[in-house]
Parts: sequence; C-alpha cells; structure tokens
Amino acid sequence: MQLKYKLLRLLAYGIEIVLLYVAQNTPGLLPPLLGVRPVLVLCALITLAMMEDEKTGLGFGIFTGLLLDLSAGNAIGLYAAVLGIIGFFCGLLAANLIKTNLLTALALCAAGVFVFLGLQFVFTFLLHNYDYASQTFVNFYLPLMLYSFIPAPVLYFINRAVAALIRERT
Amino acid sequence: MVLLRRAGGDLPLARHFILAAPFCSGGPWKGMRMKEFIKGRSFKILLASVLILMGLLLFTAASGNNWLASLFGFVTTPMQQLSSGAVEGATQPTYEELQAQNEEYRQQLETMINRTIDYYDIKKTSEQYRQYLGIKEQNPDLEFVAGSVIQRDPSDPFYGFTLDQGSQAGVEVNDPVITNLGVIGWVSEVGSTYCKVRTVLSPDTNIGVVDTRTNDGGVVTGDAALAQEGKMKMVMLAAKNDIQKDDIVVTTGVGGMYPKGLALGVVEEVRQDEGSTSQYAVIKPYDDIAELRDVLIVVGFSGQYDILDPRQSGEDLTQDDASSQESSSSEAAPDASSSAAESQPSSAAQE
Repeated sequence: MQLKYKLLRLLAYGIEIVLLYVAQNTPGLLPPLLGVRPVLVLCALITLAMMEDEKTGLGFGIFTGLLLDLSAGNAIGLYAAVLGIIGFFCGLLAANLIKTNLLTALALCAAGVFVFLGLQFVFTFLLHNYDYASQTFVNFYLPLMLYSFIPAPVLYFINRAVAALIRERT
Repeated sequence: MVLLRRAGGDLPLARHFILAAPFCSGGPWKGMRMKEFIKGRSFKILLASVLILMGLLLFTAASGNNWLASLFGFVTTPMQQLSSGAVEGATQPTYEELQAQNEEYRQQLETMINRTIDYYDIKKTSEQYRQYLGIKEQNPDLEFVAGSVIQRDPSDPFYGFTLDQGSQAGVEVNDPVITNLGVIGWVSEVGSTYCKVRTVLSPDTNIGVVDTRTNDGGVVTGDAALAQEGKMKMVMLAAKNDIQKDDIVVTTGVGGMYPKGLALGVVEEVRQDEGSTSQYAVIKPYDDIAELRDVLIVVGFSGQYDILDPRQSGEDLTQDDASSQESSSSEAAPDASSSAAESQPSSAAQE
C-alpha cells in the first residue's frame, strides 16, 4: 500500500518536472526579467528531494538533468550528473541533518541554483574561452539565478502538498 | 565526522535549521558516521550513477552521434510544439470575441472554433509563404524549409533556440537560418524532428560579409557583451576602411556556407578595439533575435560548400548588386580576409 502511494507521488513529481520544463522552454510564455527567463525545474527538484529521500532526489536529478541536456545541446550526461548529485545531497541533508521547512527549502534552493548555474557558466562559457566573462556573469547569470530562485516558495508548497496528500493515512 | 540527527543550538536561527531536541543525558545519539555513509547503499548508488553518466557524456561527446537526444526529441518536440502553439493562439484577440459569441449557439460553437483555428493556421501559412515568395524572388536558387521556434533555452546567453524541423525535412548541420530580413543563425545540431540553432550573436558564428556601400570586407561574429544588447560585431576590418553608421552589411558567399547577398544588419558604430589598433563595427540585426517565432532554414543554394577563390570570383558587391542580385562587369575582388574567416566550428567540437 505504501508502495502504491510512493509510486503515485513519483508520478506526480515526474509530471510536475515535465510541465515546468515545457513551460520554461516555451517561447513567449514566461515574461523576461532583466532579459532572462527562469529555469523552473531547479527549485522544483530541490524541494521535492527534500520531501523524499536521497535516492528519489538522485533519480529525479538525473531525469531533470537529462531534459536540460537535451535543450542545451550538450553531450548527454553533464547536467544529469550535476543535478543528480545536487538532488542526492538535498535529500540526504533533509533526511538526516536539517528540518524540512520553508526557511531550509529557500536556503537549499538558493545554494543549489547558485551551484548549478555557476557550474553551467564555467562549463559553457569560461571553458569556451569567450570574452567578457565577468560582464556576462553579472548581466546574465546573476539575474538568471535570481529569477530561477523566485518561484522557490511556490514550488516548495506545491511539493509539500503533494507529499502530504499522496501518503498513506495512519 | 558524525552527521548528527539530533543536535541543539543556542542561536535562535539554528532552531529552524537543525533537528533539535533536548539533550538526554543517557540517550543515544542517532548519528551516522562518515565511514558508514560511504559504505552505505545510497552512496554506492550515487557513485554508480555518476560513473554511468560520465561514461555516457564521454561517449556522446566523442561519437558526436546524439541518438539519445533524438530519442528524447521524439517525445518532447510534440509537447513543445503544442505548448508554443497554445501560447501563440492565446494572443490572437479575435479568438475571445468568437468564443463569447459561440457560447449562445451550442451546435455552431464547435464548427466556428474549428473554422477560426483553420483561418489562423491558413493566415500564418500565408504569411510564411509571402515571406518565402519575397526571398525566393530575390534569391531564386535558394531552397528552404519553414520552421517555427518551439523551444528556447533560458540559460543560453546568446538566445539559441530549437526549431520543429529536422533531418526528415532535409535539414543538415551548418544550414543557414534566415528570415525575410536577413541571416539570423545556423543549424548546430540536427535530430529527426528538430534542429538547434546557434544565432549570429554567438561567438561561435563567423560569417564573411561586405559593406554594400564601400565594399569593405570583414567577418561578423558574436560577442558576449554585445549579445545582451542583441547586437554583433564585424571584425578583421582593413586599416583604411570607410565603414560608417547606417551602412548595410551582406554575406559574401565566398566561404560556401551562406548564400551571397543576404543581409545581416546595419552598422551602428565603428569602435576601436581595446588594447590594439584595429577597429570593429557594431552591427545591429534587422530582427529581434530573442523574440523570433518563424524562420526559414536554407537547405540548398547555388554554390553551397563551394569554397571560391576570391581572386577568381571577381564580383563587385556594391549596393546595387546586392539589391538586384546581378553580377557587375567590374573585376574588383572582395576582401580576401572574409573568405578565409567564414567558418563554423563543428557541433562535435563545441560540446
């Protein structure tokens, strides 16, 4: 019975990730802020990993990363590995060390968004030896981090509702 | 190191973060030591996953064969097309008017909605064909495929996007992507049902161009700073060039990657390069590349992949020639720097 509820929750999380991925990549859907549009799936992954365990965080991190690899045109696996690790450790921290509440969710989302987009800046910009790296980081990547972090509270409450509602009543 | 499951803190903020409980003098710590964590099943699963993904990354990067992306594309491309179509349809003002009217007639409602959808589909297709006809009249040797933007990567600082046409429609890597106003990018990756476009704002783009007024040649490429303003730059200018504001730059076609005479944009200003004596021109494209929806992919043209010797081409790309597409009798050769520099890095090399 518990397995049935777990599978339902996983299905709900999967649909959520896919819908957010489609929404963030649809041209003209989300309004730009300072010339950037948000990466919605990051905070969704971190908050759902906090609601579940580290294995679920790892699995959804890999799934989300594969979707981002597809849209970015990278060799498959880079973002999947990074988000898999982020999801794993978010789930591990929430299960063993920290409480799961809005404050910790915001803290983890901020850290996760900064780490992921910072690594993306390194891999896709710095390593390509493009000019004006610091200017691009300030004018593009920092607003991108900020805008990607803004939906964190909403996504936290959505995932908390999913985790609370789709659970065996004891 | 012990990862404590229970801990206390005197700082008020710590209560929100750390699983707190009063210390029990005799109570056991529910802790997990680092050694146990590393030996645990979860960590082994993490390690195995990362190793597999690293192997997949190396394989796809080395082989350049992105079959997995194509497989994902079969699933995600239709979803993106549906989502893009829904967004585009929602902005048509008369749809709401017809919807309000159709509520009164239950039997006619479905017919009227279907007719409205067909009307906008036909209108959109007609607009595309109008652009197609205009370009075809100016460039009769061009063969192209119409594409719609279905996906934009929000984390790409150069505004790359994905189109709904792929190898099934005859699209290949390095095919130019244009609108009726000019060149806006090139195909960097192709799947069966989609293709990714790198725009002219990207530093990976290098297009041989010439000023239609002065016949000064150069190479248009992207720049991270200018890309945020939606502009690009023309480099490798001759020391004694006469390029001025409002000049139009068009492709030379010498490198065989782009058809000759396609507009790229208009000169905004000529600047001095920092730290050197050379100059570059800031070019503003005719299109707003960040907001493009419908484009054309050039799948074939006369002279494609033919690398011409500029000393033998002998064509004068003056403004009159660029607009009428007729070669002049003049024997002036285009700038040799533009032919050598027109290139696209291969998609595999960019990964």
